[in-house]
Amino acid sequence: MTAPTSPWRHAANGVLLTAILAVAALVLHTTPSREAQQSAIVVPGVLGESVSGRNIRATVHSVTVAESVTAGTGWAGGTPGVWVVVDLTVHALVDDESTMLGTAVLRVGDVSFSASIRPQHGTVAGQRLVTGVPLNGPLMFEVPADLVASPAAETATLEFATDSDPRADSLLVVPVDLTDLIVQPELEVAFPAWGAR
Amino acid sequence: MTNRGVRGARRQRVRVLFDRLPTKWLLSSVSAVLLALSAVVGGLDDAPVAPVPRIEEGDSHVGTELTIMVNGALLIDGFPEQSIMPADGNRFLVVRATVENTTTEPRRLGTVDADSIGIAGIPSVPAAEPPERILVIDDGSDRVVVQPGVPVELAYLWEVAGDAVEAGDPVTVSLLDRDFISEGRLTYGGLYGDPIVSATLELALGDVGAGVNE
Repeated sequence: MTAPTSPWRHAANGVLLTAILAVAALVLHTTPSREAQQSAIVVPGVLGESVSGRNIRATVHSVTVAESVTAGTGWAGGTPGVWVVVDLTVHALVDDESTMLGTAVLRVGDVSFSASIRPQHGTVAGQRLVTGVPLNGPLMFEVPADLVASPAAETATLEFATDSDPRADSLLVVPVDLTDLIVQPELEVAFPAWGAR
Repeated sequence: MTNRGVRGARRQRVRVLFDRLPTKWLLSSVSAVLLALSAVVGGLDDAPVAPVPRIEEGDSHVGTELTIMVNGALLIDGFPEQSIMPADGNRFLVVRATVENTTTEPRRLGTVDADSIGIAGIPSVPAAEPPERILVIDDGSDRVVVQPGVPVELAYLWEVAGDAVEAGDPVTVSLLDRDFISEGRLTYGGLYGDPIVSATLELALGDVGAGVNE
């Protein structure tokens, strides 16, 4: 016959159990969310200056708003909205195997626009990047006409990354104020070109 | 005390009656109760399914993510200037539609699964066949991404056998909504079920022969 368990033993078990539950609760409530674990690593930039991430360096030279754009290929797509045209220089830094400008996003408030692929070879959106060899060219964003004058357009941002899914990699974020810009009736942009400028 | 004794005896009697009850009766009565309950909510008939709304050509239909206005359906031999030609003996069935994205994110329209517009009632096109191509009518570019708040007129192309359809034949165009299930738990991005037909319209096919210049 075993000796009866002492009341101290019971108390110690209770304390141990409470401690384990407390640690579990602490782990549960302080674990970073999936967004926090995987979100892109934001690299803030400035208009006109180069900004570098892990494998991408970009410079936004200028931003223009125009009602119609003619690309270097002769493409002149119409839109019921307006075109926000970004003059960009971009290259890869460490690795150019299957590296391209996969993310080129204009974010105005909650709304995001991807750089149009309608101009095909007339835009740098989705083009391959090469390590150390800058690619210069335009990005065209098709946006509603009233958006560029809205209050949210004062704090619009341009976002660039080397993959269409920029999680857990650098995301270059360059703020732009679209309300400052005068809407041009027409704009001609050059064909994308390689090399420093 | 006596009160409790009487109640106890009654409980005892009920208990005995319950024990004598054949199990079959018990099951039958439970079924009867369930059937009676089902009668309250409409019996054993199929639940009524709301009919898919029918719209007319030129009406714009507001879906969950896209507002679509179908502008017509026609047959054409091909688009030689864009190097888009069907196989020998085939023609293209083109549905023209103005599509506006009402969400806050750009949306790529798929040609792997039909996820915005589908057609039915054409002999050589299987059900739920995705369009072979979607083109922006303005510049002929494919790989269509619809930007939020910017309506764009698109041409949806299906290849059909040249002798299977002719001008005047009816075609049923279905406007589709994506069926969002949830955010993926293990995968990234939303999980979607089969698209839901949110409206249909009946059109008579036009025929522009080799092509039109507008």
